Amino acid sequence: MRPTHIEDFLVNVRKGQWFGWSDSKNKIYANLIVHDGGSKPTEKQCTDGLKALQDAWDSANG
Amino acid sequence: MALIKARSRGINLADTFAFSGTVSGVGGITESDTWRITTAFQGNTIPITANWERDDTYLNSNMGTGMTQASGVFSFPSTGVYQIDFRLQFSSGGTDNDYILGKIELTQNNSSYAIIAQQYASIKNNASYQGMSATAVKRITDVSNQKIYFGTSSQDNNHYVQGNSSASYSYAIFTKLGDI
Repeated sequence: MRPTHIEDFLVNVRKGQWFGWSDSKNKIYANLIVHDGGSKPTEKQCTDGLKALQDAWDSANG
Repeated sequence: MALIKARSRGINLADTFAFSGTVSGVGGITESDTWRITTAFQGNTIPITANWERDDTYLNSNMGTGMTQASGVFSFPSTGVYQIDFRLQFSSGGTDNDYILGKIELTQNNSSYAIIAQQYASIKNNASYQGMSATAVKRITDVSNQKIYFGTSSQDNNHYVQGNSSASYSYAIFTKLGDI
């Protein structure tokens, strides 16, 4: 399935339940929370990361 | 005068009864509670501690007091016989995984946990999906010490667990079947 949301990128940043959403019904960057005390990707990293996943998917699925 | 349909030899089950009072002592399901994982994650996670929410959309049918959840540990609202259904939706994580599993663990002393149900699946590295379902029925006699958590792992520690806050992708259903 083609990645469509920054969660598709975040899940690859590190393993485990390191992140979540302060409002799970509104999964926007402003609501991104970190559970494990680690670093929080910037919004640009999230959008760039999502685009890279989409480009890879498009390349693989023509 | 009201018609009395009870007979000395019992009740005719072909008759129709319209109860206007309270019927007690017949049991029935009094607790049903669905919890789901709202957010996807990758890799072995035991227990699944975060991103749980009670089903709160689309005519949810939660009834009774409901479970209490803290850091992925679920406490029962009252003693009784409970059915616990646990379901996970997986997607592949970059390699073939001969096994991916989900499991239910129970503590009887609020400390050490043991597996009470688990199910294996396998998945190929072709962006495929897989699911698993594990069920346990347990007699809960001590709500202070008998608790549940859930976990997942895989051969290569790279599988994804899908989460969602609108529909239930990965979730647990707690049903109280009756008193003890």
